[in-house]
Amino acid sequence: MLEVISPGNIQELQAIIRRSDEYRNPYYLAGGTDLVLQIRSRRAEPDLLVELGKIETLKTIADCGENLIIGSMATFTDLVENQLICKKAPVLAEAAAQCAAPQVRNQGTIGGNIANASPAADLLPPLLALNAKLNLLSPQGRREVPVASILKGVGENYLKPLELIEKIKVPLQNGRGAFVKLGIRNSMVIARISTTLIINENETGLIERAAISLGAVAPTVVRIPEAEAVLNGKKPHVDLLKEAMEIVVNETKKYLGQRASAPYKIRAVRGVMAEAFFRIYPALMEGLADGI
Amino acid sequence: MEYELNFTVNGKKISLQVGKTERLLDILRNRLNLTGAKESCGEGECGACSIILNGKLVNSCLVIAPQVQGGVVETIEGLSCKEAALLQEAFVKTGAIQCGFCTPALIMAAKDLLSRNSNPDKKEIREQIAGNLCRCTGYEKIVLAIEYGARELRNDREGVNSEKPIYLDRQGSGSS
Repeated sequence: MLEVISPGNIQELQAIIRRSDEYRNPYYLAGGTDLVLQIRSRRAEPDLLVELGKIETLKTIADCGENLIIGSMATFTDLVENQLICKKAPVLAEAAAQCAAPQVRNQGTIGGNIANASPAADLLPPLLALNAKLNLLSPQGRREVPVASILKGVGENYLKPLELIEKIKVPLQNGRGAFVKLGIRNSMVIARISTTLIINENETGLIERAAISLGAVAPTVVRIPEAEAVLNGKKPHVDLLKEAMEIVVNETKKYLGQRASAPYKIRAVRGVMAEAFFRIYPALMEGLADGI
Repeated sequence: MEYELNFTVNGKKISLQVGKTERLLDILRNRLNLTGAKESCGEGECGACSIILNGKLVNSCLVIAPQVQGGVVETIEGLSCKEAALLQEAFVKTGAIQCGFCTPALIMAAKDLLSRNSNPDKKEIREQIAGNLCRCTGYEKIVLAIEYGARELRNDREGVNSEKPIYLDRQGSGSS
């Protein structure tokens, strides 16, 4: 027997969370664009559905000084249209805008995109590159963890039963960012490769913090720390960017192994990385992108 | 029959017993006989079941009853006579209909766009209908239909009487 509950606020939700051990297979229903299909095909067989659409506080987006705080029920459309996100975390708005089509963006949520843990999730590369954190709510109380720490594998996360992603905390920083997604057409596609590149430079023009994340090359979205380390502390130069790109390609090869799509994806990674670097350093990358 | 659903459809308050995971698409088509929304892919890829829920265009095949509780649904059957007539006429005049299966959803997508932007350009129209598949027309005429319909609705609002038809040139792009 399936039970359905639609709590109207966080207090009501907490009362449900406290009873989580009464259920064998409880699920949260956020936007439903993935879960509804999973239920219909019996890939998900919940005995409890907690529908989150009636909790207004989960939909707010706020600027709290050092962080942007995004409610987990904010939709892709909310991210695209929100002025705070567009100004202070533009890579996130860019990634949200390129996801699926208006219908799905109106319904799909940031919390669902994270919990669903798809290797091709559109919002995970920017969230990882931005060092975003999750505020989680469970029977044991609240905890804060980095987004990457809950990603387990393809479609799997490390969240406890009925542990809720309440808010997403995005640290504000002044870096320049680029989100590049390769799909077979502009709309509706699931990313074949996606990347987010964020570069922070200090006043002397040295790269202070580089962040590179890649989607759809490994069981989860991943950061490429080896390539970031090469960039950090250096002055941007075409040879340095090329070196970083080759490290990304080599790390990708390790993830891809012998799978059939590997030769295609390796070329594609070089292409999306070249485009991402070009967006941040157009003058340095001039001419290089053509030769890839 | 285990879930009592109260919601508003096309301005009318409705109370129904439905399944807990029954899709809005099935509720509209099978229980309310509102068959404008069509099922094609059933996976949110084709847009044929597009309706407006709480002011947002969504695929009704991906929405289940609890998400609609207390909500407001608009379907193609609920368009005002004027809206329906002008958009319908725009689709007919520009030849944007062949089999017609995708048309109600495309008109809902158009309505959604026009409610935010009464004078969209071709790029904005293409972005808006990116989630609506049409296997007959090749989209050019649909884009034209929405452009034309937008103009007619603007004219209607401003009281301008425009009988000037829209023509297709050889490249399929519109001129009027």
